[in-house]
Amino acid sequence: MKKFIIPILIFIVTFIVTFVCQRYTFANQEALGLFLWTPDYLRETFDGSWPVSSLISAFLVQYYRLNFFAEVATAAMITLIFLNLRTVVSRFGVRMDMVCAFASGLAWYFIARAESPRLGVIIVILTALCALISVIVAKKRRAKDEGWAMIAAAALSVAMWAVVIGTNDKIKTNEAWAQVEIASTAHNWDSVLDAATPIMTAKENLMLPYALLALNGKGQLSARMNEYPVHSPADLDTEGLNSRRAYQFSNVLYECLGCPNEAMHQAFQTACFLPHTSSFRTLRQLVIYNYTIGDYGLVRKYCEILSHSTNHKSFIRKYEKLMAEGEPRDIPEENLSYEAGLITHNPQFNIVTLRNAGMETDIALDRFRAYLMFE
Amino acid sequence: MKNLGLVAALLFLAGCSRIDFVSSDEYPAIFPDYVGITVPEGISGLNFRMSDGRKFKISKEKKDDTVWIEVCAWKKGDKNGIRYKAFPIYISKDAIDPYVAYRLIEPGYESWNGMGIWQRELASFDEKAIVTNSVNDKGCVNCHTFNDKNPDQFLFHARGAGGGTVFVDGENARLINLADIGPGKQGTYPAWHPSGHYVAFSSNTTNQCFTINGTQPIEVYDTSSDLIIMNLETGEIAADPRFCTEESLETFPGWSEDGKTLYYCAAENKENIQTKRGEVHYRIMSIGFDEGCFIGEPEVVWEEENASASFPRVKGKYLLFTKSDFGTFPIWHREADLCLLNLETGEVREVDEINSPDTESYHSWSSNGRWIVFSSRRLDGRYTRLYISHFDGIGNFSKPFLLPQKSPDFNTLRLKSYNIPEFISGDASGRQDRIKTLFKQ
Repeated sequence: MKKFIIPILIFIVTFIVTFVCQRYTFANQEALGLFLWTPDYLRETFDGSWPVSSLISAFLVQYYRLNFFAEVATAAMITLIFLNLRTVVSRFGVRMDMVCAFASGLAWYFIARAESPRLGVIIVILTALCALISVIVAKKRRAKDEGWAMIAAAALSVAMWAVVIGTNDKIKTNEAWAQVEIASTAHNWDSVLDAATPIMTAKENLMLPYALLALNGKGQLSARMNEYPVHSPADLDTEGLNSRRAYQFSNVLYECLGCPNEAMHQAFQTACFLPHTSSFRTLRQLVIYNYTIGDYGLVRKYCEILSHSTNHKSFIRKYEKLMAEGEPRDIPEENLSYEAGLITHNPQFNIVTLRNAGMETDIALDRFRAYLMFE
Repeated sequence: MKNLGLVAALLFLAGCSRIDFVSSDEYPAIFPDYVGITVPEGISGLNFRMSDGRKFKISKEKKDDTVWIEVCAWKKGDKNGIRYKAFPIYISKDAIDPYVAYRLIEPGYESWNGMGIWQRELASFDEKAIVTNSVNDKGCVNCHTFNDKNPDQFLFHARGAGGGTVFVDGENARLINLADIGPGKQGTYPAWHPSGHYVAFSSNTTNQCFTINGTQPIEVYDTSSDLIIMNLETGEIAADPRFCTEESLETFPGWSEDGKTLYYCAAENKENIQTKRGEVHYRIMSIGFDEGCFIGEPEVVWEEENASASFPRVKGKYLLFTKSDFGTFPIWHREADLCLLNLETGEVREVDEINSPDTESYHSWSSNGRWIVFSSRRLDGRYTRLYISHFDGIGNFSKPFLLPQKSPDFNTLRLKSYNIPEFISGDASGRQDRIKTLFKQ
């Protein structure tokens, strides 16, 4: 019975800590992840490093949208690592649960800081291989049961890592960022503001435009902007910044401003930072934007692609139904695009351009008022 | 009991397999549409499916140079189906180059991630990388061209830090920054002289703009473009001042088969060209060429009010080009179509038999001038796919067919566009490691 205590403890503690500290992180991993049964995807994966682990990791991440799945998967990974290590050690007739618990906790620390579960999958596979080899090569020697003191020490080791991970600055920052990204994509402005506090935005400058957009979305930008460390109009945007989060911000901004053409531009830009130049979030957004502009041909294409993942059936059914009830756009024979307004590198000017094109939104108006406050 | 069970099973199976087919006078709606196409001998399998996803079976019969395919289709679970009118696939005796080279890139905007120049063997579904941007740290690789379809002699540009133009000649490869030579201009769109001794480049300053609404999300335009000639034997680059002015834009060089004429596109440059992009119309020009020098005066070969030409490509007396309403980047123009100009008679026509309501753009001739491969966005309006069509030598093209794939759905599932398709006469792959060393230096 004693031999079950530590693995059960590891599972429960890992589950709780990841649930409390990394809920949004896992949701964001799903959004930034991609798994497709398509020839190109499989070829790209197998051209990269650790392809089998990458594939397993990407497959698992699909389900991170489901409640508790990621927490269970992570807890299972850490527990398996512990059990594998213990199997190896026990072939030598010793029980070193404290050492194995420490090592699995160390693995958990690095896994918690990683961008995907791939590191965890790699460690599970490698330790499983070691365990298998040890079972084949070494004769099992009966080990003496560990005393309660050693079990307590192992439990303390687990608790220690739980505290380290629960208080780790990088993990907390990643979680805040994940919350900002998930919530801003969903236009859940209160949740954005919960994570992107004035203190956090002072530390993470790139979070500031997100926070200001959240105020913008609540119609409070001009009223509450000064609660944040805002110094110039440039703080409202990410113009000129070349990073995934900068383009992601622009993607959400232009979606809010009612400009699907530019939202799509920024979605593509964001995707260029990802391993397969696409993600579940990108593909879902492309479905939504193309549906908005009435390009049903592209909606069908992206839905067909998403149907080659394992977790998008209801999303696809929803858009098939919408298309059956909706109207695709007309394509004029003559090319009139030279009359269209253009996006510039001046965000303030873009607001005016959108307004002149009839794309007037409350967000645009509130934003423009905020720009004027700097004059 | 056992015998009864066997009989029951056999009856059940017989019931399952018996479907009553009603004959139809119509051809089947299949994807890709291979009905009535002309294909070269030895092309890879023309795998297709029913457009509406129904189950189907086929029977084939070859009569002379035509394969007749009869399709019977039925819905899963139905006992009735339709036997469609047999459709022909014509087998041409005209040979086709064994490979097509192209770049694969997302139809995105400003940035990219993985991209590369690939080749596809037409007799199989085998696709291999010629060079990917893993050689230059995910920089851009673009504008590949081959010396007379020779897979052992080609060039491409590699943009990014430490970039330049890579010239591959057999097992040798060298990286040259063209801007370090002569007139100090970078090369953009290349055209290899038939003799193999020269390469004409246009030197373009290219920009993009993004529309806030409308059906064309991106317009690409040049604020300047000139023509330069590189002598591959001496390494020198020359620029004729007539083609290096700010007032005029010259681009898309293309040679006649005898190498005595250079065709190119030209337009008047405009101030604030971004806002006046609808007023930029390129015409097709020509100029004589002999022993490294342009001779004579430029002549207008084709121009049309409110229309713009790109990619003049000559085979024999025919010049194939892309026509759009304006501008110099027709892949983003839905109205862009292929046109055929008879250089002897001056007659021009839109090639209706291969054009579609959507974009047709870059194209190239096979070695023997009997086939073309061209880019089209007719499938979904966004992702460029390759089509092949037979040319009869007297001005007519056959119905184009989509580059065959192992699974028909591959064309939908691929998230990259095919770019700059060029026929090549052999396998150009196997040099990536050698090319990579150029960038490490």
